[in-house]
Amino acid sequence: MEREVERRLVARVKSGEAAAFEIVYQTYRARLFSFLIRLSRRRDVAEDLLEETWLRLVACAPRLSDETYLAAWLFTVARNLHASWCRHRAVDETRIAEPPASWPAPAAGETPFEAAARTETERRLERALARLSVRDREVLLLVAVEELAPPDAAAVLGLRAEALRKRLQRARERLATEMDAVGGFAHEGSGGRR
Amino acid sequence: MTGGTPFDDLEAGLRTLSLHDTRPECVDRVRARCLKALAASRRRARPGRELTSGQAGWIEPVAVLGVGFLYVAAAVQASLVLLREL
Repeated sequence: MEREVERRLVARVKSGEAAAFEIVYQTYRARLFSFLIRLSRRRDVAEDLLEETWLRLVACAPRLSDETYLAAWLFTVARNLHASWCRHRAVDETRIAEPPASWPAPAAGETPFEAAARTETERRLERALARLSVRDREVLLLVAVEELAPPDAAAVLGLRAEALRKRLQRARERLATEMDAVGGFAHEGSGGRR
Repeated sequence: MTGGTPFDDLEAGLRTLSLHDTRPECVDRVRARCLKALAASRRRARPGRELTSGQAGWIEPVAVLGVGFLYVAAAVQASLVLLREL
């Protein structure tokens, strides 16, 4: 989205215009949901966090800065809500005397959206991503999947540029290792996204 | 690099991952809740119910001037009383 178009859209969202909200909702809903489901690996959790993200946007709309970059704002909220969910989950797990975990463990087996992957390569990539820690996964999702500019991704994750670069490099290396572990790239034609 | 898979291939693969969306009933529910909240927010922001930043900026100096005037008047009055007693 062009910067000037986005500024006008932010101004309209701030004034509570329903049509402007609808544009933002249509533009970012699936991107946010894909991000959240790949982070949480659970549809019910992703849907709850997605709903909360949109409600936060509506609640905070009048106070948004005119220069707000909506993608970064929305991904920051979604990512923070997921981190918060992980912390609560860890507390609950401690209460029921299971090993505490700061982040959820990768899901075992094939998830529904792995099964829905269009190609074998995509299926393997989803599986390799699922085997990564959330820290590695979130940086790859923001930079490589959502194609946020590094300064925006750093802002979403609350990192300095150098820390982001290092984390991204480590995440790429681990993904390459996991990709090899799940069979590497299949030799097939690949389609574009969306 | 630790794995044998080239980074460029990985990045290209990640860029082409499928986009997933929520169930239609979830899409509609979230939209309805947000539009309801937006409408409530618009009602709260209607003119006359709250001071705008322009009004707030105008009222403050007038209030300061008023209080200052009262203070000076009280001081003059006290001085006049003192003068009469002398």
